[in-house]
Amino acid sequence: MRLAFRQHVPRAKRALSSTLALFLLLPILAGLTGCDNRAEGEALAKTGAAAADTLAKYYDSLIQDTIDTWEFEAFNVSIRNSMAAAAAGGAAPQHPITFDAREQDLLQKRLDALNARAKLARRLVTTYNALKDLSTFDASGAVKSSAEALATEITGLTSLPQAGINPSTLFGMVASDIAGWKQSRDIRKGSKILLSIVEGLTKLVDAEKDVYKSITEERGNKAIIVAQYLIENKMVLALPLLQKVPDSLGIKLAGADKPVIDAPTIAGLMEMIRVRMLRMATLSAGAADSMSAGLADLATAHQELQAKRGLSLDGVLAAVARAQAYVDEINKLREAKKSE
Amino acid sequence: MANSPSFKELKEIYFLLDLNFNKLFAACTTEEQRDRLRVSYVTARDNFFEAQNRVFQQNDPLVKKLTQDVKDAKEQISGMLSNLKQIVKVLDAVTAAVHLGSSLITLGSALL
Repeated sequence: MRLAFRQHVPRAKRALSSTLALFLLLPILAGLTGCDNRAEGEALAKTGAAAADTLAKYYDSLIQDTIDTWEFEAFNVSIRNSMAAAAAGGAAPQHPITFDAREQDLLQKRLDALNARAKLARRLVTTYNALKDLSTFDASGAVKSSAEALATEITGLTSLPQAGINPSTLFGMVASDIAGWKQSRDIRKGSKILLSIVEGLTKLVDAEKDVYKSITEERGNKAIIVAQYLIENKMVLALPLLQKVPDSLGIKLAGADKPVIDAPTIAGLMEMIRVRMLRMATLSAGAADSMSAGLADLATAHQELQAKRGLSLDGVLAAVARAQAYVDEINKLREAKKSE
Repeated sequence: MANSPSFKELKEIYFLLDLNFNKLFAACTTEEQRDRLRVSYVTARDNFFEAQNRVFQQNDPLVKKLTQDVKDAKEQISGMLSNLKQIVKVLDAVTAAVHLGSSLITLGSALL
């Protein structure tokens, strides 16, 4: 198995037992809720929860993009093969366009990988929230179970197709560090483990962000092709795409209840659709870049807390707010029909 | 690997063919031309999917050269799309670009 990056880390994946997860909690609590920096620890936990929540929502968006791509490609392939048969006088083409089990399996693998990442992000939210709410040094049941679940999600991560990254090489140190810590009982080392998780997540997102961008791009392309087919074959009433112009002037759009038939208007509407898909791709790219930056700043904040330097969360908060704004805008574009 | 120029060019040649498939198809005048177009589209898509599980050594001179060749071919095809009267030449460029992509794929190491 080739590595996408050269990692000077142990590669063995070890199952994280509930016992080890329990030992994880106490030093994390010591690191985040120590007598002299409880407030900073709580602020960091709250910020970490917000970052992980936005990351989970971004993965949800990519999951929907992948499902759309799958369905739109199935439609496009069928239509293109029908066009081929019509052009050949009804005869089946010698080389039809295929969309076979292998290709669809790859899309399912992508969905599985994205779902695993969304779940990991949500587990991280739960862990951060539990730590924030904790008021004693005893590990509550909620914190213990959330740490166990987080450990499970990390070990269950699969490679995301297109990324060429094996996630276990980024998080592998976490499992081996926990095993090493158990023997040494070094509290300081234990408190670094949560930092390792955030650093691993930072590397994963950074390594995969061009993949994330291509997922939304691909979906946009497929949507454009479907839209063109629908409009050119008069299967949709497309003029309402321009509704906001007559609305702003207080005039009525004529012919909105009929399919568009003239070529220049169809061409103009298609350009609007292309621009809308380009906006979604740009927003997705912005969200990926912002999350990558935000997670890197979060890791730095953890390091600052470890070193008892002054904690600065402004960078993380700004990056996460940007990413969340992009994700919100993507969702608005998906739901455009409700607002037009 | 997704962040590599090789992946980017394989992605863009596939997207170019996908978005312009209908236009190219309409310009074809024979079944043989349409068949060539379909084969090229499927190969470009499969190359893109295959690139998902490949690692490209960007410092390898041959990888660099082929990546540049795919990019140049893509730009040549883009320039030809505004006038498809000589569809055979366009299809020749498409076929060549996709073959370059397939050659580039063989230089990528399988991840698993």
